[in-house]
Amino acid sequence: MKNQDSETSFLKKVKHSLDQGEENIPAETLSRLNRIRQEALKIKKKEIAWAVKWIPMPYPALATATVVLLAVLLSFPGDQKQATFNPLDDLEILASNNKIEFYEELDFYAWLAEEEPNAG
Amino acid sequence: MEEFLASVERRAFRMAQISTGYSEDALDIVQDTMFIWVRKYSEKPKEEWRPLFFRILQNKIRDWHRRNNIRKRWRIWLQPWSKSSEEEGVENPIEHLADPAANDIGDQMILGHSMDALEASLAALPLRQQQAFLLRAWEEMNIRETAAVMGCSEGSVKTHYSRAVHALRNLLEEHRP
Repeated sequence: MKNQDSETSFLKKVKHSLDQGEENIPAETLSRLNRIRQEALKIKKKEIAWAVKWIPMPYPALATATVVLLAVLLSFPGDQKQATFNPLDDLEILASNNKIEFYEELDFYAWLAEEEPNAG
Repeated sequence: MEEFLASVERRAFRMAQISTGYSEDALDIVQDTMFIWVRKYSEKPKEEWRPLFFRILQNKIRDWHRRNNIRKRWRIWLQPWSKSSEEEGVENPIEHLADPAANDIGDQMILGHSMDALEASLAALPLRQQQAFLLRAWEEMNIRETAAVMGCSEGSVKTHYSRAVHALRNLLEEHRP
């Protein structure tokens, strides 16, 4: 009990010191953090602007493009074997919690893999 | 989105600064983290923003340490060359790289004015212990969240955290005036 109290008190002190450090970040650094944040937000604005640019595409053109695409896709049936649904694959994934987590986080692992070449 | 980034940027900067020992590198890490987060994860549900942000941050910090270790290895490998070229008066470009040894606890204690004993002790912890401690004790994440951010099991978080607390108490005791 005494040990637990002493650990709680120690952690409280540590947290307080860390909070103080956060409060005392120099103004110049805060201003740079603000600039970094604004730059990051610009990325999103640019993406939205790009998407908006393509939305007003005339409907007839969009409809024609869709029909052509569908026609092309349907004329090439592709590998039927690959397209078949195999419930055993899903069962294997569902059988283990760890695996589900892995599949859920695939995009994150993809990012990690993308980052790897830059690590060195 | 801006409100969220503004709410985490200071802590993210301090975590990176404590871990690397360099403000400039910490700013670079925060910048990379924000850019990746905005590009890939800002569309995710709001409750996932914080763990995802800190997960990217911790990965970026880990990448920094990996690069630094490679730099260290090159430094050691180039040492004999460096000595012979010094004798010949040739400038060694590696000397202009940041000195990873400056992150050593002793040096940090001497530099003192910018890094108090606590930060120096935190910097001296193995990276995984440091991450577990900062996320649990400072960011107040629960074990499950911390495990998700660190990409490890809850059991590993418990082990890293407990070792970190033990090591920190010993280190700070040693540095008590």
